[in-house]
Amino acid sequence: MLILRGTLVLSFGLLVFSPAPGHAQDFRNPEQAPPSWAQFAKLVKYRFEEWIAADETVANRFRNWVIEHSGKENGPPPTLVVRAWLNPDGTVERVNFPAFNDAGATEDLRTILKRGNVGEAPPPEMLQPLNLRFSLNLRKP
Amino acid sequence: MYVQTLLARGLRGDIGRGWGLKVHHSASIVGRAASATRAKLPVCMIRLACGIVIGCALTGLALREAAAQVPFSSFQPVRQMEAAKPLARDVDSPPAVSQRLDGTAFFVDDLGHMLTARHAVADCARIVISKEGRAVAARVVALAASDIALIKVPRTLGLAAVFPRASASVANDMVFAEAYDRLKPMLAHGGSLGNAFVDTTLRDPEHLVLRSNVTFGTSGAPVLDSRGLVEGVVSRRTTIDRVLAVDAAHAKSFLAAHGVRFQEDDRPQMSGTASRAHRAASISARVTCLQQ
Repeated sequence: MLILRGTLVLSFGLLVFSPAPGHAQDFRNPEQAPPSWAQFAKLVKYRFEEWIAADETVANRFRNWVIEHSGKENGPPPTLVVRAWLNPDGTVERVNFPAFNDAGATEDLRTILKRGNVGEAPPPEMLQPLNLRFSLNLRKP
Repeated sequence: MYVQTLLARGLRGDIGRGWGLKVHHSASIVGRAASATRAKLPVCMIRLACGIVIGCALTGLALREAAAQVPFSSFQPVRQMEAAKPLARDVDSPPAVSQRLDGTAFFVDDLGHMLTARHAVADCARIVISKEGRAVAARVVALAASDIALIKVPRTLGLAAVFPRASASVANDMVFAEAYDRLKPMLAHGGSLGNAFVDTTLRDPEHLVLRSNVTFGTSGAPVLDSRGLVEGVVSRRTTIDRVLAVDAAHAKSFLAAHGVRFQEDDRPQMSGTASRAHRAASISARVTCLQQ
């Protein structure tokens, strides 16, 4: 049985912090953002990678769906922007991303990204949500 | 340093596939065994890295004398995991391992390079990095003249540490340094801002001197300042509450000399109220040295 592994690539150039809905988006250049924000974003990226690559039912199912449908009309988009809100205890409160054509895959990814604790509290002054752009690069080990 | 002289036999199965989970299980059992032995038997304090027997005393004496320049890594016998094994000698398998040494290491870049204490990884038959239920083999890249070493695993697990461009530690600054294995219970209680203080009463050109009561397993742990920057790498204890850490300047020179592109910044890497214990957990891992 092949074990497939997902790699998520975070582009810090596309890391965007926005204020509350209804306001114009505040595009914060990551290089101008406090280092504590960038460090926390890197940690969230790492956790999301780990959770998608985990060897468990939902993650395996999601990765298989990506493999089977990549490049197809009903498959996943080449890039995916995930907006993530994190609680003060480091748990993921909610995530938002464009739905896939497959409702099951959408729900699987939502389940995966909300399943754990990133391990640190977000900096209290950090604007949320974090907007993280990912590309899914599945490869055989 | 407590050393048990029990020789583990038929241990080849321990260190193969699925090592991470077995190590975790093994640690608790070994811990109980070690406690029982300390309570009943003479305890030998042996600096195996140097191959020199330092002393041998009863438990109470050993505890007092352990304060004299002891590294914070504990040798533990590896538990026999498999009840039955073929009697044939498997020449293709790695050599049997009789003792293990647990310390702490931390990531210094995004390529899997880690810093730890030299004595925690010197003369090992095999080195294993364990973090959050995962275990990967590591290799030694370089050993420094001071008590630090550069090791490498295939990829960084968590965050990479950030070093200060210029050390700003002054007397009585609160810092944080702890063994990786002791972080988990600490995090369960909300973490910690600091557990040690910078001590400038003792001048040492190469080391950061700390007032701290950290103990076994802390060798190689990062010393985090209030900004979340690494000010040193824990080396050894000199008195019951004095700890030496190789300072950041020496650590950076060592990394640069071996082509490691580490991150430097003088700005805070975490908010002022954030737990340094949590950041330590994000950048560090347990390093296990398996010795023949």
